Amino acid sequence: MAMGNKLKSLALAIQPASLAAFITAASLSSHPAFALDTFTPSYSFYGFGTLGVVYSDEDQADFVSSWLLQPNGAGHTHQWHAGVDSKLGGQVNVQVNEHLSAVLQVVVERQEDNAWTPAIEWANIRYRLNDNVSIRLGRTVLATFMVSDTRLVGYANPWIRGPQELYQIVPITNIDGVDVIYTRDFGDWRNTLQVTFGQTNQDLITDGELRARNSFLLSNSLEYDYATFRLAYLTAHLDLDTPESNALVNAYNTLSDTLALIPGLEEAAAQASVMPGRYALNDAPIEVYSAGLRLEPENWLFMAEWALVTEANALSKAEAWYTTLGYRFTSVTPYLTLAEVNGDTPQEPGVSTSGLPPSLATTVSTMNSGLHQFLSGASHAQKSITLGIRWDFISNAALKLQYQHVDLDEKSAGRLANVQPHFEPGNRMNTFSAAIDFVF
Amino acid sequence: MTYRKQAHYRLLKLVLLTICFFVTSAHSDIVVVVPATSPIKHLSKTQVAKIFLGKSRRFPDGTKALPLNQKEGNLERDAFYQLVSGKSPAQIKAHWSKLIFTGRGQPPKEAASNEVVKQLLINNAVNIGYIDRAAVDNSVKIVALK
Repeated sequence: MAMGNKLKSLALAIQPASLAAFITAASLSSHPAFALDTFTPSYSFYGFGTLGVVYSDEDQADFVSSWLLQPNGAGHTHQWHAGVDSKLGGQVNVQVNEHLSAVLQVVVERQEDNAWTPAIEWANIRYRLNDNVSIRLGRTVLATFMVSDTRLVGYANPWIRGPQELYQIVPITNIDGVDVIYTRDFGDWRNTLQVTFGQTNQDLITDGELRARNSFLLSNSLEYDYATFRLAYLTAHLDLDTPESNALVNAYNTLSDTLALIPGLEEAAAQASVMPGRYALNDAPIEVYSAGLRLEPENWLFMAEWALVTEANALSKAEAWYTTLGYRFTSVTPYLTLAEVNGDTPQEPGVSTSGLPPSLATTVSTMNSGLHQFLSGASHAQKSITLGIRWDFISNAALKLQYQHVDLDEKSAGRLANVQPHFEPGNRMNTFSAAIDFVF
Repeated sequence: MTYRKQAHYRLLKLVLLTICFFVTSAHSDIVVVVPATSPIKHLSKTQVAKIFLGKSRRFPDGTKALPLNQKEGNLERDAFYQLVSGKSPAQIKAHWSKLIFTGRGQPPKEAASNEVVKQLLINNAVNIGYIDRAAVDNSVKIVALK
């Protein structure tokens, strides 16, 4: 009763004339991102996340979504793992005035140390010179591929995760530096040219660190109606420090010094001395070329991307592609993806054991096989077919189910991580993933 | 007797309202509107879609476009995007997620109803919106869609 009376008096208090104003005001305040002509700083908050589980039937290695970030995953560690795709992200946009804005994006996902530590994915200020040119300074996305921009925002992507054969070629997602975006319309065509320059420091699993210095990314997207065509070129200088790579370098240096002291083994010493320089990732230049096409006529979705990464010391040359076809039935979208990555395995015989004393020969051949393993580990090859379905069951969330059949390469562990001693290359593997992607 | 009569009347009213609802939602005749004083006379569906999807910040004549959306879930909103872009509500949501989370844009401000759209157009808080044709009055002008 008291409630009813209050409502009545409220209704009485609001006269029709003021009602419109009240509604207007209420509708304006419901959204924080309303700047329009009043250029006081306006803030808006957005969030996204994924709640997902992955099952893998490979019990001698782990299925992960990033070999750079995740120390373990589904398969060996746990048959079902909830820490492969799950994440939560928050973003604050600040619009200072018509030209100046800033964005901060913080993402909580499982890190290389297995902890769910929040990390700053983006933190940049953007200055819009005019309708065509804007400059961003700070931590921005490293948009190597077509959907790198939204790699973490599952809701914006058709699949649970970008096809790993291609997307894991460059597992780095952000860069500290500056980027310039130049957009121009030609009739109904829109062209966007983007240039990014900067560097990235990324902690790795197994206490390592990867640095990409002097990264330079040039990309160009052409859009027309439902079609987008994108070309990109990335170059960077890589430094990789892992206990594994450092141990190898030290071992060959020691070997070279030892052999040099033994008369008659100068040739073997010379062979050993070039190994560290040949395979250590120290200021190693790397280049990535990529092309992508996205078509969305009516209810169809077609996507295809191709990428080539050049050899950089221990990292082999690799080529990858994927293609996705989907069809939207109102709120349900089934899709099919084919993907492949082929990394060249370097033919490295190592240091010749001929003429070495037997004890030394054993050590050298152990080192050679260690080197071979290291190089094979750095060369990924696999192909897969993925069948999935996306169901937009409410307005800001989608449920996705995905079955993936993977053909692993005979020499490497493909995109798997935490590879166990009893892992047999050349196997087939099945994974099943379920995820709810949401935005708010 | 009076009670029964009243009940019949109520039932009839409900049926009529229901029919009206289905007729309007089936046909939901959406029109793009600008303030009555706006110089804009006609636009193409693509131009309107670009303005509402954050792909274009200006009208073809170079003046700044300030679009106003209707609230998510409003029939007008779904019909509008279907009309100008052929996209479903989920596709529109995914589109904006892409722009928001790449820092490339923010969706237009939203209004709760046709009445609020008109109110904000009159106030010049925004300069382009869409409403049901039935809600059009002389405060706004219908934009011819080429």
